[in-house]
Amino acid sequence: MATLPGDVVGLAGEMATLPIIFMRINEAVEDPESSFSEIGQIISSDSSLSARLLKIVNSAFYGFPNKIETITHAITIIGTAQLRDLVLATTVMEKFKGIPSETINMKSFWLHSISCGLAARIIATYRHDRNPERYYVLGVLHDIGRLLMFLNISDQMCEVIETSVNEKMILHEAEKKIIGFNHAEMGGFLMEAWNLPVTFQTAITFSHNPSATTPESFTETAILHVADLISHSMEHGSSGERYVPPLDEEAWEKIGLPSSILASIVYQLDKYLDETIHMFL
Amino acid sequence: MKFIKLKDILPGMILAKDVKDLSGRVLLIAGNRLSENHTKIFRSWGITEVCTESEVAPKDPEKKLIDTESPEYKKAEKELQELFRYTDMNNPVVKEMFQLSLERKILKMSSP
Repeated sequence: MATLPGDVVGLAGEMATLPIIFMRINEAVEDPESSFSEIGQIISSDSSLSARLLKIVNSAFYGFPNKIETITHAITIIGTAQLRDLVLATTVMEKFKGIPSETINMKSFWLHSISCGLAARIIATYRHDRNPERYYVLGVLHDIGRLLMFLNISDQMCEVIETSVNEKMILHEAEKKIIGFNHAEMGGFLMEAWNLPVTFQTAITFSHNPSATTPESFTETAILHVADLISHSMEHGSSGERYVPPLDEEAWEKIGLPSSILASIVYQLDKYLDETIHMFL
Repeated sequence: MKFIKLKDILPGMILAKDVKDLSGRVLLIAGNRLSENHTKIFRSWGITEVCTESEVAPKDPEKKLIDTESPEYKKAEKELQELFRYTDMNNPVVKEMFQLSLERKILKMSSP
């Protein structure tokens, strides 16, 4: 019997939902009547989350000259939607932390995901996007579908790895061949189960073929696609894939930056990657 | 007064115009003496060039020499060709990524 992405989400147990704290923060951010201090109170009710967030906003990554001591201060400086996206990135990683897995090196997995998130964030900054954190979280989450597959359908994934090694096949194509869907589609499905915005679903689902995404999500999908390629090219960790996936030229055109900017992106990526990993893991 | 790229900023140059981020927030006001730390902060806020007063000519960047005939170079190049086997190496973006990756790999190999 063929496996469907929905079956895998069904097997995922508590992974199939996001933590309550994120839901509450998200509701407050979306509610135009809630104030900075209300949102601050919700975040502050979880002391380990607030400590983590303060560490992040005080890092060299943001480069603020003065120390940010309170969550309310952090909100006024980086913005509610941005802070919500940082919360999402940290809570998801927290959720998947400490999972034993024989089939995948978790450290390497997160290294690749964080590197992709950072690259996406840097590209978004160069494009003067309003909310670069949105791209960071997209990068962090982009391969989460594969993680779910490794954890819940590990026998089939072993077969996928074998096929990709023996036939020198790109991993997401091997997934499609053996299982019938790839990790990107799986990830999109999980984003839906988590009730995240439609952009998350489409950007992740089409991260390997951005030209097929919806026009509304093309920018997000294109940036995620290129960020993933940069991370693979620089050999920052691995989510199991052994090759740099082919570049979708339309995606690069959509981003609208000259290829000479890649050197600056890689320079910044190298500079912040270590620190970011320590902050999030 | 002239516009210069971030990478050409020399410590000690004086800022001629306020530096603002995309939302118009002032990051540093005119008259400040620039330091390396400022450049770092500008970079993280997506600033690509600033306006300075001084006309100091930027130094030539020290060119790193990479020996393309060395066995290390050949080895790194071969490994990366395998990594990039499914990409179109005629595409300028892919070419640039390959080159950057190769330079990093060789630097890593040569540093203990």
